[in-house]
Amino acid sequence: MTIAAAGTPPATRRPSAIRGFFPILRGLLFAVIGGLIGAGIAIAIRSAMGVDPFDRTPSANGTIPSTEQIVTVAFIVAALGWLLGVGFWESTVRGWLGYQIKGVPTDWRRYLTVSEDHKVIGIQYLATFIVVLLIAGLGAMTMRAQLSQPGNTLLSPDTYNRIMSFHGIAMVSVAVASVMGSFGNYFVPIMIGARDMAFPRLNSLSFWLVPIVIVSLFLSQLLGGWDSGWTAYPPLSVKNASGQIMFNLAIIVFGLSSILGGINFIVTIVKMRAPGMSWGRVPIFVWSVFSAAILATFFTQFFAASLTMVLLDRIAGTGFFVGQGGAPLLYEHTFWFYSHPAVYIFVLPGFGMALEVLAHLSRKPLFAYRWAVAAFIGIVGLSGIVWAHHMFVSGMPNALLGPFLVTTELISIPTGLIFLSALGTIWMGRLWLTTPMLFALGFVFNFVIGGVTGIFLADVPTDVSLHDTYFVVAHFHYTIIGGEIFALFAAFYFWFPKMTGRMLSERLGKINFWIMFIFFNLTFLPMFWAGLHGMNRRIATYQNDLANVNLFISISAWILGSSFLVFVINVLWSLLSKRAARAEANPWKARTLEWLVSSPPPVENFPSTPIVVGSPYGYGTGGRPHAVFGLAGASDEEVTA
Amino acid sequence: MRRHIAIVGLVWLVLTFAGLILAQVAFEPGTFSDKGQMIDDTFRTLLIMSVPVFTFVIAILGYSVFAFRHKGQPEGDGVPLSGRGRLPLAWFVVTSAMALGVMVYPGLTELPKVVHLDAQPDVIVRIQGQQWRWSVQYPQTGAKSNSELVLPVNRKIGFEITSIDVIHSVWVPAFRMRIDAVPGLTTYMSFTPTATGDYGTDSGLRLQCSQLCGLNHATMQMPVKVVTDAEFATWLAANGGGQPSGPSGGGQPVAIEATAGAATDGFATKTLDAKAGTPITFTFTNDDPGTVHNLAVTADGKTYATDFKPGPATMTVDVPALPAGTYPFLCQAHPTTMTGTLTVK
Amino acid sequence: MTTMPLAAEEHELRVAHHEESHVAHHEEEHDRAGINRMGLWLFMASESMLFFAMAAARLYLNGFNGPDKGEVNIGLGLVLTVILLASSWLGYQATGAIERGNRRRAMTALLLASLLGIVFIGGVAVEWRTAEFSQNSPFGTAFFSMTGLHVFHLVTGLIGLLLAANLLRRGQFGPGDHWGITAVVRYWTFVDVMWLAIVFPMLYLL
Repeated sequence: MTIAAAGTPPATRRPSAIRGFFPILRGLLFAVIGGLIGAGIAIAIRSAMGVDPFDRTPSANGTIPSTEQIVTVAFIVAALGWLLGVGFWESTVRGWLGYQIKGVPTDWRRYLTVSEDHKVIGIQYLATFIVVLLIAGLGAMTMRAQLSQPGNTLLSPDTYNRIMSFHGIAMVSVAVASVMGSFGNYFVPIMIGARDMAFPRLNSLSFWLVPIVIVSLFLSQLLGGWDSGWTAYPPLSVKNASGQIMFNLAIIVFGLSSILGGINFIVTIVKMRAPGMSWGRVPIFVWSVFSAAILATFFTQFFAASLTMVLLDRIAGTGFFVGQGGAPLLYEHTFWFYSHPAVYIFVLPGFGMALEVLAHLSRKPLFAYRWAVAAFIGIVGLSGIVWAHHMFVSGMPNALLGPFLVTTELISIPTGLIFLSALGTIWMGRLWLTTPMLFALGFVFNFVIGGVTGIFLADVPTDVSLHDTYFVVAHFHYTIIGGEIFALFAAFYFWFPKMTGRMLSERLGKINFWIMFIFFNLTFLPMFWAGLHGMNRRIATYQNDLANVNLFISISAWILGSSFLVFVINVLWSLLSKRAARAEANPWKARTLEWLVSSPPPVENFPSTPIVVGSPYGYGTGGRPHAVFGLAGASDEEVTA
Repeated sequence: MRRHIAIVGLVWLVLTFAGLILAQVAFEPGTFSDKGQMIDDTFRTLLIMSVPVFTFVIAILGYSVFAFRHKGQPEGDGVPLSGRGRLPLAWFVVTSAMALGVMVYPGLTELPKVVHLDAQPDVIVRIQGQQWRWSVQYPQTGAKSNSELVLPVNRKIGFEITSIDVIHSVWVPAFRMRIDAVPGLTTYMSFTPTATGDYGTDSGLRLQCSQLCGLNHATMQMPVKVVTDAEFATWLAANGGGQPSGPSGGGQPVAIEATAGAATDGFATKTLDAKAGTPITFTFTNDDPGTVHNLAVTADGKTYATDFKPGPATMTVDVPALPAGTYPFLCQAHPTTMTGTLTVK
Repeated sequence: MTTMPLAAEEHELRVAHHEESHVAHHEEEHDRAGINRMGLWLFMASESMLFFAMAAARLYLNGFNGPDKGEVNIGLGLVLTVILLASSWLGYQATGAIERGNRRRAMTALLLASLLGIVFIGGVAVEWRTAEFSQNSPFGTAFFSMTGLHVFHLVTGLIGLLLAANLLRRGQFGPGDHWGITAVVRYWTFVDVMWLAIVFPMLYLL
């Protein structure tokens, strides 16, 4: 783990590898103990209430409430145990109880426990979500293997549905947290000239909730998994295997993580900007994270509420979605009230990231900066009133169709402004076609396809036909992979030198880009065609006449998958090889604050508080830098403006 | 700058022209309903409208990458266009106008036509979804079917759709129409089939569940047939009078049983034998008191399944003649534990 | 600074230098109180969304109808409301007392506020036991889930109050350093406001 080495005071004594894993191992141990205690509590409560604690009688929905109640309580206590064990006992809870809190390690071990350094947390997020991305990607590869021919018996329908559901939610979690959690955490404080996030420990809590989510999604497979997709519509999610409750509990925890992160970003950006960092000088990536944070803070609760209602129907016998007065459409409303804004949580930081890279590597000011910011705000405003376009064929009242068609198509206006900004920025620029720039340009290409096809789904008449087909699958993969994941890669190639002090191989980077770009399009463009030809979503098998196109998609998808291997090799080579080039402070000659400090940045980010004196995008306008360092003064190499 | 704009404009025009030609290609298989035609026309309209927008972005993007690229690190900066002033405002006004345009036509103008419900349809069809099968009923005559949806051509059909367990969705790709089947709710849809045909000639003529509904969602489908009035009347008569199209028997009999504890122990027998080339009638005896089981045999990508009933109960299912080979069977309520293999010789 | 400022930018740089003089105050701990307050407000705003979602669910399931079988005990509901208001008032007494340095009074107020919270939870338990509707009827669903959600928040608030009381006992907090108490009390009030503005009217008054 060389990435931890630079920028930290040398450890006095080199600890053994095992000791570094101590917090995580203790967290796991405490989670197991907590689970047992929780199960005991649930059994005791059931006994005290005079019911057989292990009653196996199924409920009216065919589930076993006793098991699910015990699992739920065990989950909650296990989650608390994990948090205490992994380091929150020393760093936080001791303080609540009035004892001296203990410091956290400063050497490489800080990556494996509770840290209060936003840069450490950013790297924790990044490493975690790259792993999740790869695992969920393997899920996609498996699904494409099953779908390579009709009637394939490689996977049973049950296995397919479970993998498909896992792929869905795991990728949604990547989409929610990868750019925000990793690059947002690492770079937003630096880009606004702050020392850290507003609430460093809360920030760490946001991250350490994530392993609970991932592990629970795997553990749910022991309880039969869940086959209801990431959307988990009831009544199916009230009636299916008990794995569903682990999904619900896990995603409620993930929601909590997302909300705490959102609050942290909002407060940090509002309150902790450096002197002179007026709202008009805030880099566009920070604006995009700010917008997404607002959405995460205020909308995620609706997802939590939806999942809680399903959970209560299962373990407490309520009747939200089943029984006499149950209303399945209620779930669709509350779910999409979060989950449509959620797609902007995915993609807004992607927009911000792409615009950031386009401006710096076109050596031009960001075109129509104010309009792009207005577009972000506009999207935030509109995102709360478009949710029911996911429900055009749900059986909701027809009177709602027109209004939601209108609001949905309004979203294309702010999105159009972001394209204006992107195209205006590269126009007459001096395009430095490095790997991050290629990914940012790829983003623009892919997102225009994703955006244009969105119009077909916003329009009720065509959506009636295209809803829940592969047309939709293609559309949202164009926006999320083609958009956000391409932006994630742009961000990764752009900022990796800053984060690690090492350069990535440009040659491998370009190979990675071209394989990914070409085979991404070859995978997902034919899916539009398959959708138009009657291939519906989330199916383990399909009609024989779609065999050729599906085989083509599968082969393209596997090659697309292999491009991630190139990426992994590139990263490992750069981190481990002695020949990998070291990164200077500002390899891209960019202007924002993170490039004014060493690579990686010092623990306290800046030698002294920076003073912002100009635009972050003042290319070609004369020599004024974005920021200078104040009285304490930085050495000249560090202030390369 | 002028020269660049002129070239991009030219590229845009050429691409748009090419795109508009491409947009004439038949992207979809033919439709079998009046509303399907409307939907396809709307699709085409949107496609034509989106071509210039798409090519505009691609022209600028592609030309910029081509003309303004630098191999290494560029010396100096690009032209500092700030993007203040009239241009963004003009962009905003134009894109807003386009969005409003698309909203009105074909959005709001076509919407009422597509979701319109005929107050007095010629034929009423009730569709009920359950995990993982469809059943249809014709309340005007009392005809029922669990095996196919038959509709008369050029008649207004009114559908009344429900579900008894989870959310399903009624979708016939060839009709382009879709609406969810929601437990506790009746949903409606109406259209007129415009051509005769059946699933054998067009795989779009199938009633396909398109809302994830659990285990056998992918194969929850029913063949659809559009026939003439005369054929429809004959079919109604053959399926009328409340005669369920249940087990007709007649195939070679194969029996299998599930006893108490089958949910973990599996079927009483894990292997079955049958002769090739003759239809098979499976008789499944559920002797597992109070536990729901069924028997489902998968062959040629189709699943033949009995009802779900708690024991004690007996259910049957007919399977057409199969070629020699082995076929998996299972209980769809316990797909991991209750499995077996049918050997056809 | 590596670049000489151009004449046109002189003014802005002068502004920057003016801001430089404040740099000392702009270190990590700048405006910590404001940061904490904003964080707490955002958290409460976010949590209120959860209550709005449940209220929306209640209206979706029941429309504007009240209990479908049996009556909720509106008398008990009113008593519970008063208890909760009194508890919030006591919480603010604790904040006021610690601001004036009166630790003993702050302690008493915190403990009394917690006690009233426990009484309130007991009252809800009585409501649950005596409810004449089943938890799977539409109103029962709304009633049990909304009161349950509220009690869950009360319990977290209660833990907070007791933790604050314990810290007070151990000698923490003083007139200039009482964010812990202020925050817990503000959260406690927020939970009360949710009862007063959403749960009580949705379940007892509609």
